[in-house]
Amino acid sequence: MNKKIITGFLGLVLVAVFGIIAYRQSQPSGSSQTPTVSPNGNNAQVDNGNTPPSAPVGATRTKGYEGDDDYAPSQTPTGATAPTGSNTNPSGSSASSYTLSQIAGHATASSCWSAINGGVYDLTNWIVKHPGGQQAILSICGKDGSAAFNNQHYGSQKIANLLASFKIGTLSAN
Amino acid sequence: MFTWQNKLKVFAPVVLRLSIACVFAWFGFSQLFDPASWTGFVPSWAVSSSHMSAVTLVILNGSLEIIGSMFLAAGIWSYFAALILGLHLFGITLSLGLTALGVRDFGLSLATIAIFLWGKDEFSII
Repeated sequence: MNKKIITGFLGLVLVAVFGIIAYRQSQPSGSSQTPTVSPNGNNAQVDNGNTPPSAPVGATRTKGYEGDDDYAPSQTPTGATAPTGSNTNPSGSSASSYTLSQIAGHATASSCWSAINGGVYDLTNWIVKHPGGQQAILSICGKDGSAAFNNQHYGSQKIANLLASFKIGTLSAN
Repeated sequence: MFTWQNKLKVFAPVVLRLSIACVFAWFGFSQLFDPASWTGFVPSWAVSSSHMSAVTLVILNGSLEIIGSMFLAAGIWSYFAALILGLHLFGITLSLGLTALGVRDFGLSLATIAIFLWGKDEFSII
């Protein structure tokens, strides 16, 4: 009987340990949110006159995803305000179009953009939360991640809905 | 079979039980501490049929997984907890489909079902 009680107790301790680990991982780290503000100094953004999507995007996108009615309103101003002033399309036809060269300037964990299937997504806050590991997201930062995304998630409407919540614009051919 | 294997195989079911408990504990607590991050995985039919928000469903799901993991870890009615968690995870697997996540969760769900099939091990309290 003693070994059963000890094993049961150790099991509960294990559960508590994993709970603590999960709690610490759920806490916003300095690299996941703060850098979404700090990249204001990013030369690529400054040179292009872009308004970094930093804080508003980072602050709101952690509060739910598209399809979640509780949080949908918080996403609307993000998509509308973040790209303001960041129009790099010479034709001026869209305020949220980005070229691959602009996206390449956001290739780090502190500011991670990726072009997927014609859309541009700010995946900075998703890096640490991606169930398949951080590396899968880091590997597509600053580039076109369509192939990697489609290989893994093609056909999943659920994942497509999740991705849509990170959208900040469209990919421009120029 | 080697002698040492004979001696060690008694630990096999408890190792499986505790490891699966850790998995459910981690995911359960993650959902509890950061439910907003998991709302994307809540199927729309669950939201519409339950008339609860996705966040609420995530919190309830996380609570279920935590409670189940505690029963599994403590070895109290672990086979019953394993059955519930295993079927629950199997349902999630079906919604994920044939993806890396789906395949992984399929394996985990069957491992959890195996705990139910094994029943009470030598280290279970009840």
